[in-house]
Amino acid sequence: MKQLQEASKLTHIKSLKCRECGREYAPTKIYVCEDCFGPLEVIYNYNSINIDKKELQDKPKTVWRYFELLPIENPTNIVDLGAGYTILHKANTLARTLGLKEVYVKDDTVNPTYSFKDRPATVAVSKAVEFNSKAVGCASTGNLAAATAAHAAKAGLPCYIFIPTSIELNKIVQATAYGANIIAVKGTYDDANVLAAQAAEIYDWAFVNINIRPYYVEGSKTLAYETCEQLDWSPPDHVIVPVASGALLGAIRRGFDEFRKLGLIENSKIRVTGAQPHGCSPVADAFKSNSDEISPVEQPDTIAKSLAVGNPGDGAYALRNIRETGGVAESVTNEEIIEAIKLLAKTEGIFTEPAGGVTLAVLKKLVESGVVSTDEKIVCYVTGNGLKAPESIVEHVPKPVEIEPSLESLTTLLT
Amino acid sequence: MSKLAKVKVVFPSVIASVTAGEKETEVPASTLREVIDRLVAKYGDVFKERILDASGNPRKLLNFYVNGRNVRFLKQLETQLNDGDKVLILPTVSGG
Repeated sequence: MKQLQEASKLTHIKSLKCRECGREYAPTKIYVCEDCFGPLEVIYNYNSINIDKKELQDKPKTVWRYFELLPIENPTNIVDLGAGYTILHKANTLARTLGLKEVYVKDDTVNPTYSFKDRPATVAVSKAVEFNSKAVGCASTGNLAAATAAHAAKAGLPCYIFIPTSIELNKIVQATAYGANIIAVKGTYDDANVLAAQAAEIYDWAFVNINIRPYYVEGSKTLAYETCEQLDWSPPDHVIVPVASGALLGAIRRGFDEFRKLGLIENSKIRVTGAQPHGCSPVADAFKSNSDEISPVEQPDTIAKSLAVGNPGDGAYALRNIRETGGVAESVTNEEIIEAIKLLAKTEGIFTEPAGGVTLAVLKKLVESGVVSTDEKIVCYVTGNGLKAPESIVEHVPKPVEIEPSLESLTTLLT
Repeated sequence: MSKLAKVKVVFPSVIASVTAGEKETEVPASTLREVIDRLVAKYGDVFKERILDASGNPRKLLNFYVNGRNVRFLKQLETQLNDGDKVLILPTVSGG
């Protein structure tokens, strides 16, 4: 406890607290509670944190504009590629097409490595630097691989990435280009993740989603902060979040809760809905069957490979967050995902990977079933770029028409 | 009576304080339930309290793997074990 008190005097970070039993620890490189194995969360000295709305205007246009609410003690340790502060599009054409009044798309396809994972990766790799780690690593369905590899490259740290062999080629190429050591595991994401967890027991590396996980997840809550700021501090009624491990959904809720706690937004209710693909929908299945238990999926089967986490570590917490906020969990087919990818591209000019298609397809399904009311102010989180996963869509868009390089040929084509 | 299989058990560092610092051990057992019984006999009540909940079931935030396969996809505590099998205990790990 003495160590805890001394640590908290020096920094805006108060402690790590067990989400299950509430035991607090000094903010070191630990990730589960020693008593009950519950996940640990970063607690800040909220009383001493003062976020001034006007001063925010002069802060960097990255996640680091919220430094006081991120778990890095010394700003010189920050490894920054410019993650965050992505555009919040007012999606009028999409809204009209779906029969809704007010829809926004948070476009995280335009982050430095083209997915939302740059947010947790910038925080995690910065924390690895702060911990003086010799190397970083992660298990990934693809997007975290590139985000971790890029930030490791910027930090000059060796990087070890554990991926299932089935992920999209572009994601492997991208992570490899940053110089990471790619370890392709013959199995599912969960197999790769368990292997990475064993490696974390042996090697003194900072595994961003394992042994420095409490810090890593903090990066994702900036999606909620930015949403509030970009909506001029008038938060949405309902947000739709893709669910893989469930950590993103929890982080977004936490972000809104923290802004409420700091008096930055009013105490209104924000429904948080989870979106999953058929073939890997353990959270949506539990929600629909009124169960508190998540039944893991041993062999996920979906085109939304970035959501193919069959045994979601934060699944039960995602379920709880969804229920407590009055949201729902829903799943959609591959066909619905592809149609939603095309819908978003054609109505708003945003090309998403299948995970974003899942989010949009779930919104469409909930509108059709009346779960979403037409006058709700809705934000959809679109978390990864379509160029990362062209395999999913290439057979579902028209092939280019070939003509001779002559005006006659063009005229013939157009008449 | 058939001879019990010899099974290797690997622990996470977070429970090292209740395994006398051991990160792995070997026990004779034919099911996962027997493995846990043997480990409780070896390491005592502190180990039992750390691994099992009040009703005697493994804590929900621990995962057990036999040869890399989560026992939730096998027969949970009744999963049969063979000579040379490896039991891995890990806290729930998440990802993305």
